[in-house]
Amino acid sequence: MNCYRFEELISDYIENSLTLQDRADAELHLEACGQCREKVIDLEAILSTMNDLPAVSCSDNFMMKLESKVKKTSPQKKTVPVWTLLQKYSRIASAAAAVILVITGFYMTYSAFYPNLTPSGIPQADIQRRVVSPQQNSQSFQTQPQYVSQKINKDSSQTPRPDFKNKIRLVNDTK
Amino acid sequence: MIIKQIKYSDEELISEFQKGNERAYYELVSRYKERLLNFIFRFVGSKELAEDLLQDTFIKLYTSADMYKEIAKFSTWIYTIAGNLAKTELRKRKRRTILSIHDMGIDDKEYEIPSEVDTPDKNSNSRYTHKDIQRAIRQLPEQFRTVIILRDIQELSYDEISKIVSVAEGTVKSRINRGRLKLKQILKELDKKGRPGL
Repeated sequence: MNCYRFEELISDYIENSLTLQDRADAELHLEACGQCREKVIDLEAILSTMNDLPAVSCSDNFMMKLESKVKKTSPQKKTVPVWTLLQKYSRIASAAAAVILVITGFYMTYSAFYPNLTPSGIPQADIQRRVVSPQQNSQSFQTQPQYVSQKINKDSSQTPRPDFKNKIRLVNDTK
Repeated sequence: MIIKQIKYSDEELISEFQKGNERAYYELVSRYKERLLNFIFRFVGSKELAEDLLQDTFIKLYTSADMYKEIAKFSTWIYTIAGNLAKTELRKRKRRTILSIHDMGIDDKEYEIPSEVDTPDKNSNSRYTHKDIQRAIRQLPEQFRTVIILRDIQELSYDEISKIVSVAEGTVKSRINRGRLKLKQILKELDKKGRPGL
């Protein structure tokens, strides 16, 4: 063991945490090297003084000052990570989202099945209806679509129902 | 009738505080204020500054308690907060050149030595005084100073120190060894300058 190597191990030597072999080598080196012996004595004195350093104490008004600062720190100023907030309110948020989805889905389904029925307050809808009047043809069935514009009124008693009798020709009607 | 006082662990107390129990917070404060004050004081060299930084540490504990997870010991966490605040303050002061860390002259006025620290001027069992040691510690580079204080003054284990400074245990041991040798070198230089009492 040389001085360089001993210096690397000096703390472990002082703290008595070297392996048996390393300790034996260190002891041999110290017998021969006065400089390293001096280093050990110096370090042990320094460590002894550090262990002996008198402690400082908090001043008498330390707790009072701290309590005052704590009171000024409002609860809102507590730093809460976003992830913690999400975890905390995830159930409520999930339930609210589910309710909104159900209501939206119900409304869309209802609108699809009953397109004529609109909630009150929505203006009358002008709907173009395609009325197909088939012409008799032995070879082909040609249709001439006729577009009839109809205004649909909520109150059907005011507007008479359209009369299709003269416009629709039945298949078996040979007239 | 013997009333048994249940002593809660630090981790149980912080958990209680996270649930809103402020008494648990103040219990933690009373457990840690003295040792953290000494840690910070050895780092910055001024008791007044050390108390301010300690207050900041506990305010940070109060506002950020929810960030503590029981992966590490509470002591590791609180020491890390205190150490980071102390280092930040030192770097600020270094930039403002109010404190000159490297200009450790003979003039004692640069260092505040509270009266309770200025006990026997010379330790009869040692060639070095408390003032010399404190002055030499202040001259150490930051990374050596932290581990030396935690190991040789606060007497923490290598494992705990490695978690506080976030380096491997082997690196901690190496820094402590090199820090001690550097401390010896600084004291020798002070000795050469003719320190009274040495």
